[in-house]
Amino acid sequence: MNCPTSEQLSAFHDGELDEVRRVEIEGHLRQCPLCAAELERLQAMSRLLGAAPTARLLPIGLHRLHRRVDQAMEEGFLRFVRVLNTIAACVLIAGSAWLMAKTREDQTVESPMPAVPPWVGVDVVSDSPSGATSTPAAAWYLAEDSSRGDD
Amino acid sequence: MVQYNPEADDIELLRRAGDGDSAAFHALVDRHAQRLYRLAVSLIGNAADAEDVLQETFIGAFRGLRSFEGRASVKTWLTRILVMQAGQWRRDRRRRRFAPLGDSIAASGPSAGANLDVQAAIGQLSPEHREVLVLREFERMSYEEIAEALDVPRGTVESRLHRARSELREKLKAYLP
Repeated sequence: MNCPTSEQLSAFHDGELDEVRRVEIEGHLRQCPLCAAELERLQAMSRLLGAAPTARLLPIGLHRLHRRVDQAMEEGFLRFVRVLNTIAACVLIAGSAWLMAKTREDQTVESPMPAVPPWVGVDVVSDSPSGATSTPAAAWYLAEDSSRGDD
Repeated sequence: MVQYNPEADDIELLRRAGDGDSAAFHALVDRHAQRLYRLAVSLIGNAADAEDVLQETFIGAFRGLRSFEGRASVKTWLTRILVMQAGQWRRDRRRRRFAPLGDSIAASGPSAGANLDVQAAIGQLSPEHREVLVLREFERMSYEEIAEALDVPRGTVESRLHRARSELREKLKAYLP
């Protein structure tokens, strides 16, 4: 076979080729010192990178991370509560507006306020010793009061 | 004997976290914090900003719990969020130059010079090349996982990795055969 491309050799180095291609390249590497040297350079670079020290999150950093996550959770909860409050307020306002409109409608259409109170025009005999004439409403209250007294 | 399956455990933790179990989310943080921090330092170049990016990664993950569809592993999903956060950090601080790793990695001994040169060389790569190289060489992720994490086709991973290695080899030729 011809020499594999650099990309193919890179994929071979990473173990990312299918079985057929891998076997082909393995056979080629036994015969081609140039490709074998290229593969050796790839392997050497991986070793060099692998030997580099790695960063480590210190316990204080991990603690800060957990605390920040807690804050975010709290903010999320508060945001949820705020949304609920907003929805509740909207429902309350809409409900109040609807009730007011409905009450107004009932008053104007179904039970209009009588222009004249029902007792107007009813003759009431005053029982006051002075014989003074009181209003019909006062007379009604007086009658109610005296009937309670009889009990 | 019960088989230990980290991925199944991750998904279970994620499901519980989605149901409001904050302890499950903290357990997920404990599982992935070190790996993601190491990746963040490699992508960002300094420990303090890497920690910020790590925090934003987990906050982003918490806010996007419902968006996890299970097509990729939790590890790949978190890696993807971190890469996006690192990209955001770069856009926010475009004026800043890549700072070599000095405060987070103790370089000592005879190979200290080589280590610093390696970090500096990685820092000089373009973000696209650095991402793919770090995910492959440090995180040992497969091409498929890298493609998912970076949201690019597999062929793009192969070509970027090849170019990153060529560039890095040129910069580190003093240490290579």
